[in-house]
Amino acid sequence: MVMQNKKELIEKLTGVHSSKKSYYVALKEKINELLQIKREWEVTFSAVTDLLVFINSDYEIQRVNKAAVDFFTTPESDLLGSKCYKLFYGREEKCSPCIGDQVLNTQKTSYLQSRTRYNRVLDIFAYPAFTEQNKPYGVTYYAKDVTRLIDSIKLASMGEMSAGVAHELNSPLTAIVGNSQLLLREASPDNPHYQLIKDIHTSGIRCQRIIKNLMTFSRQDEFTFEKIDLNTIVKSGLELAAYQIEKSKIDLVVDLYENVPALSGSGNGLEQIIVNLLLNAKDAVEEKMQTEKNGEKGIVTIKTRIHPDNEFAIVDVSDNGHGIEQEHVSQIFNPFYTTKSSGKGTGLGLSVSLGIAQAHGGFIDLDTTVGEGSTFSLILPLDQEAPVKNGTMKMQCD
Amino acid sequence: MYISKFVTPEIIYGTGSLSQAGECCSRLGSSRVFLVADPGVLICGWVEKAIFFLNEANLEYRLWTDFSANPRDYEVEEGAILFNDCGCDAVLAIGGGSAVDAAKAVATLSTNRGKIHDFEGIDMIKEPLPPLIVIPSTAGSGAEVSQFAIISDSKRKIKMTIISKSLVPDIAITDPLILSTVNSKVTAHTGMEALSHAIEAYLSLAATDMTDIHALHAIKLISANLRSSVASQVDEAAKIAMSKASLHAGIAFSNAVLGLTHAMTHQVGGLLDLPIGTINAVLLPYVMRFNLIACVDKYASIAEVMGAQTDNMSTREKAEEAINMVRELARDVGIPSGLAELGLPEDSIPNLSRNAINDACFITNPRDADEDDIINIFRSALEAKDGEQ
Ligand SMILES: Nc1ncnc2c1ncn2[C@@H]1O[C@H](COP(=O)(O)OP(=O)(O)OP(=O)(O)O)[C@@H](O)[C@H]1O
Ligand SMILES: [Mg+2]
Repeated sequence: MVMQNKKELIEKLTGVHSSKKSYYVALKEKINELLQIKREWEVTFSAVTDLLVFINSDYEIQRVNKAAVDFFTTPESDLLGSKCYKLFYGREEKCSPCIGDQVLNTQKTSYLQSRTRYNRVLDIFAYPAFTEQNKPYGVTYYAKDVTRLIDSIKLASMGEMSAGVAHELNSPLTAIVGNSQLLLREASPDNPHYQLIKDIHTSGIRCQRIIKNLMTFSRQDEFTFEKIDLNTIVKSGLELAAYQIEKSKIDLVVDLYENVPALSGSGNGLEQIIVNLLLNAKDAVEEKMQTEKNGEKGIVTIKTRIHPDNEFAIVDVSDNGHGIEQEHVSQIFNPFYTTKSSGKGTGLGLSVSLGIAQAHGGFIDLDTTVGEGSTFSLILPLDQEAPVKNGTMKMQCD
Repeated sequence: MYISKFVTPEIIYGTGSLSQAGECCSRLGSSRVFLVADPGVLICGWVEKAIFFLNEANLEYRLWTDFSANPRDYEVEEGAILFNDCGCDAVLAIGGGSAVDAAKAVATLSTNRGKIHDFEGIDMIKEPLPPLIVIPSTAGSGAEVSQFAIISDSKRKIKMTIISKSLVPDIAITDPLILSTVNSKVTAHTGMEALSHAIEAYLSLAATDMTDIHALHAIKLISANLRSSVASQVDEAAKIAMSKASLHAGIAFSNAVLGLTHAMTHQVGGLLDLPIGTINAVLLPYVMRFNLIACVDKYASIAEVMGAQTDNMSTREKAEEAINMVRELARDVGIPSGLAELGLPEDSIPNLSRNAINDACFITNPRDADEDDIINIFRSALEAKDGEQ
């Protein structure tokens, strides 16, 4: 017993069972601790649905959260290291003024609302990040996508304004269209003034159409549903658009399925969709032909069919134009989204069209390949008695 | 018999090896060194030299000299605060045993929370220490290789012994040149301290073949060179031999631990502010006398390595001769022959004896002893009378 005790004491004293404490173990524990903290932050970051982007003082992206990766539809590894002005605005040079510089200089939080790439409006909050020595060394951007909010404000005021303008213009236009109609009836086509009056008449009708569009847009117009034949609607849409398409030396192919059942809907509304889709197709083909001079011949095809299970009637408008980049697809139905010069496109065509389609219980489908072309399909439910009775068209703005 | 263990730091030895100081620190990953230095070493210019080498290695440093000859608890606690406040990441000690002990305590407190007395005893250090590099300036303490640190408890008025493998320095740099500035008094008591380390380690219950080799070699070197080293500050051969002896003695006792001499010395040291080496040297022959029957053969070996003429002697005679030779060496280098000369009050003996039993060094003493035995040894040492002679 004494022996055993002594032995144990001596072994303890000479440290048989102990070793110099190693930093390896301590380090391992610390690293695990830090990894845990990192994971927790990552979870927190990716749970934030607004964009978080951290840049260093060279404007280089150091860190992004999941929302930012989704917004820019670019893998995180490609985002890191790229310049913030490139990422947000597609610029090659630093912005001027630069909110990052401002934040670093004043060491104070700053705010900016601006329209960024993909035509999105972002509320950007910039916060300076400091080193332990209290020197600023980077900027954290917290950005909220407020496009919808902004556009709907814009939309609302646009709606009010257009309602007023439309109302004011309606009566004079009625006089122009009515009176020119009267004159046309009385004049013989040989009369030298006949063509002039006819121009006044068609232009007046065109104006009425534009006003109608605006009224639709501003929700001032209500559709009246009636029994209609889809092919008839397509033909009357073609009447309005065919001239412009053929004038641009684009082939127009029409392929109508004979036995489309009658359906209930607004003839004017659906015709407007057809015209919009046809003109968009024409524009896409035209733009492509302009960039590739020796490309293939432009073709726009319009086709009606019914879905195999007889539930839907479909109008396909196909083109072999430039197609649409994947990252833009989600935006083309947004009001005011346009890639066309300001004189040419308002960016309302597709949003109004989708609104009308939805008022019919239908929707617009899209199949597109960049460089090869697009097919927009207007899909309408069959066999439905006026799905929305005298329904007010609902805008697609959220 | 016992399971044993043998530990040493990296040892860099050689004349001029002080020049390795900076390189060693940066090799261990340091960028700002906490430089612990004896005030004495500072005066002799060795610290300046060390700083030169730190600069050469592009290292920053913070010099700290605020500790007593027997470092106190509150001093090392302040040192640790300074270490952390300055953002230091390694400890470099240059000095005698007290500087090294202070450095070890600062290193301990820099990463382990608490007061230094929390670490008193065996294996109480839980967190790893920052890199520790030690350059001894005297030949004696052995602290540059040992797993011990001794710190004074200012309230209890005792010396605390901290024992931990974590206290073994990472690198020991032994440069015999540094010994050339040590005066003869210090050379004498540190040399005797080294001798007591070597002898007690050799006689220890925890001694192994590996520690014996170092212990005997140290005894041999000290016996042959301490006199000439005390005699002249510029005897280079003696300095080289003594620096080696101290290193070997340190390696031996750090692994084999010590015995009753040190258990008693620690008690006296708590009472009288005297160099450990002096007290050790006075007590050593008396304790050797007491321990003799436990290991007569080993005593004979000691006599032999000390160069005794033992041709016609019995083992027992050789053993007696070992004690005489130790006594003679101590006398030659000016060590008093009794504790009374050191000023130890007689009435303190019972108390000191009781405490000695509880000292960790007592565990490995080759002969069992009780309080009365220790009181007797103290008495003969006090009156300077050797019972057998
Ligand atoms: N067939 C198509 N091929 C390629 N891109 C198209 C096609 N149809 C629409 N787009 C893209 O969608 C955008 C939005 O179309 P939308 O019809 O809403 O507006 P717009 O044609 O630009 O202007 P408008 O209000 O005059 O119709 C277009 O600017 C274009 O970039
Ligand atoms: Mg359009």
